Amino acid sequence: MFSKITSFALNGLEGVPVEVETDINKGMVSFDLVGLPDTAVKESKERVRSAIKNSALTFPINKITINLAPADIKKEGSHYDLPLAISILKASGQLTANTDGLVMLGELALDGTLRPVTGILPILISARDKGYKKFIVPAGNANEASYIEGTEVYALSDLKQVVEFISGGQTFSPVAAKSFTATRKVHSYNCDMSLVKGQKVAKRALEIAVAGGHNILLAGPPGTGKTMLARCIPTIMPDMTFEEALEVTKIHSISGELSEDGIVSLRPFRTPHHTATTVSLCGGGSPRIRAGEISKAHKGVLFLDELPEYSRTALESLRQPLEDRVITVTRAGGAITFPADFILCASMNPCPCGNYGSAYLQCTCTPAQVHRYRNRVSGPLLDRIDLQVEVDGVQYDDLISEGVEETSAQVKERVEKAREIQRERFKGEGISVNSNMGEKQIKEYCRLSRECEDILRDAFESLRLSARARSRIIKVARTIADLDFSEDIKPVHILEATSYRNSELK
Amino acid sequence: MYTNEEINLIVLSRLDLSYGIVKFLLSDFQSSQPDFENRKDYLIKTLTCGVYNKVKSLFCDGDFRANTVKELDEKGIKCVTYFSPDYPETLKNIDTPPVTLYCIGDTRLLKSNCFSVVGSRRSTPKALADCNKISGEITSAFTVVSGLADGADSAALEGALDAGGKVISVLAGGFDNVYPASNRGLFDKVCKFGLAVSEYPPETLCKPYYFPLRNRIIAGLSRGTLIISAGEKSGALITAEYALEYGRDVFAFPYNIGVPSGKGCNALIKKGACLTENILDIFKEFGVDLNKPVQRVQLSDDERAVYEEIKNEGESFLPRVAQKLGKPPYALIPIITSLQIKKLVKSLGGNRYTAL
Repeated sequence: MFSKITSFALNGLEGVPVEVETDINKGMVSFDLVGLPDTAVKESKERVRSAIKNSALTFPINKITINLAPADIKKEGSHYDLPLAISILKASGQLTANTDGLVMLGELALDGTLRPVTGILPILISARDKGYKKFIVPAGNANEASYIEGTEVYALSDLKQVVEFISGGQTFSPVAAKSFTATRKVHSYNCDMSLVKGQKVAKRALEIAVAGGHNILLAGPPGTGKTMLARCIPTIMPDMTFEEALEVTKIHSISGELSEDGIVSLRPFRTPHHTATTVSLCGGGSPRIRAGEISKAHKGVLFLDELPEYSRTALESLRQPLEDRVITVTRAGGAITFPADFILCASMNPCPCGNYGSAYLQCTCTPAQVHRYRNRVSGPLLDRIDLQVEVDGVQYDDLISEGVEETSAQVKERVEKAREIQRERFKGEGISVNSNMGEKQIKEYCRLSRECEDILRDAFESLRLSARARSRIIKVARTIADLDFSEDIKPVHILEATSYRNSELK
Repeated sequence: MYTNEEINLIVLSRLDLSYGIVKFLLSDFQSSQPDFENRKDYLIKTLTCGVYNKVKSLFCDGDFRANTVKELDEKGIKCVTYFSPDYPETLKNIDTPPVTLYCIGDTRLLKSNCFSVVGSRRSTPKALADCNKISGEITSAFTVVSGLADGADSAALEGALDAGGKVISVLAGGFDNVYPASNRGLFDKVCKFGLAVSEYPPETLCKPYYFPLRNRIIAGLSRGTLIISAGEKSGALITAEYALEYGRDVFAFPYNIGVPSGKGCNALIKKGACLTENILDIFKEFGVDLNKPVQRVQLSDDERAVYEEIKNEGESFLPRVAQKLGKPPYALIPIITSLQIKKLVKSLGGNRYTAL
């Protein structure tokens, strides 16, 4: 007998329908799985056999042929277990109910329990868009599935339940839709801006960076709070919208990094170690192309601590995604585009010993050493970092002072307001923050008065700025003006923006 | 074009002989046809036979002479020799004058009024900022002479060039091997707007002991020498010693107690070097009037307040200035940037600034 069950394969972040076709004939006892399955799928034969047996059902002792169609795309992952099992049960006549339009996903344990799988969210979204409405997923994936409107998802815990559900012996209710705002985590962070003493300039720069989505570099002697400042970034980032959360969750879902909630409600803050390779940063792998750290930092922050210690190729590979905000990973098996819209926050010492320019400590490096150290970060990459801030050494008195520092919540409030202004401005432009502006938008939204133009011209002459720094300075000035609720960009805004370009690190 | 005597010296400089031998041979080569045969015995006795044969064969080799000159021309190098009319008197007066000065740029500068500004590679940012400024001011009366090292030397050359002044940079090696390579850009600028000088033929590799020898040329060319910074053992101190030996004036920046890159400077001042705080201290020694009109820059009230504060402190830390003025530090950023654009304030790194 013949049966057909629908499941889905993942191609990057896109779901592709896969038909699991089973044919059971009289003949030599065999169990063949065709249609480009990878190792995890081939192994599912054994899991399916045991799961069926241990669910008090019969595994047919006949010639079984299973085909995964279309046969030309590679099938990966363990979520074909459930469709395989159901398909066998149907083909052997143990199940007779109609399963048309029902999409099944799930990994089976040997005892028939359904185990959660990765990539449920992107599959559900794709499938819904392709017209599929009814789904069976493992109970462990219920949370993830509960945010997608227009679907009827049944989260079941084992094979027996699935059989009962299909045959109609018992009624199950679909997963209740959850509202994003209700489940959004009110996260308590370990750090807060108010815990960082002094560093007012750096804090201001962070605020600007987050408000306008600009990249930022913190340079300074060791132990002055660079890392601590960077860790405060998530605390002042505006809350994610549902659409953003879905995009981020998709990426985290295929990477199998989702937490219990089933949705990423906090902005990601990724801190890859400096031994990270190009592939781990940008994504890659074969045959299945996986998302890299920059995609996992989508809509959040990628923090690179000790920037010059990263390998040169890894750093250079960031240049294109920083510009385009997506990364297209190309391998022999095809090309996949992942979103990579993140704020890059980097930290570095000004020299190998770390004390260059310090007010309190003597630098012991030769100028050549300093040159070499800074040359590890290429000019083109530095050029893409709009805010370059020198973090100054803090004196002991500052640390124990009881001066009132602003809390993250206060800063966040200002950031959200500035973001609101930007959203309003860029309605229908397809961008949401100042840093994403193209030349055309700069021309339209960042008109400069003659006074501002004069300042910029003077600045270029006396501070020896590179020509391509111009539009970046203007974008930062726009953000500073937004934080100021100023319609026009004023000379002070231009001057402040210029100062963040004028670091010693050039 | 070179005279025969000049070519004699150029060829001699290529033989890699010690300075003593070169100086010994100098009088022999003053005539266009050195008389080897007559003085053969004497020369062999003093030079040894091998050196004598080498010297003699090369001097008589017309092709070698022509090629040497042609190579220099191709590289755009002009060689000023001890016998050239361009050779500066200031150098003739020292006891070990270089026989050849390979030059790229304006050789007339050799005979101009020179003043050298040198210092350690590890100078404080504040000293570098001051060096940059004072070099620019010196160019109103002098050609600034320096080396090409990182730190003070570069700051001196850049300051002088930025002010549109004339500079001479004396290299320790040949022009083919500019050291340090990171200053290649500066070297090109010097060649274009000033003069680069080396005692050695272009292909010579730089050796550590060439640097002290080079310093004697810097000191010898100059009427005075300003030491920007010097540790206890510093090349800048060697330059100062040469300057004293040649009877030239030595100037030095004063330093706080315990600043490593200022110990040498303070030691010089103790010995009688002229303590230099500004350009007037230098110019009054030479009777030069500072006739530059003082430019008045328009400043807003805020800018004036910040400028005064930074000026009073000498070297100030942004948060501290903010504290004194009772403003948030980031509010000062636009003001300080504006002052930087007006060239009244310079960043020293680490959010510290100095007034110029």
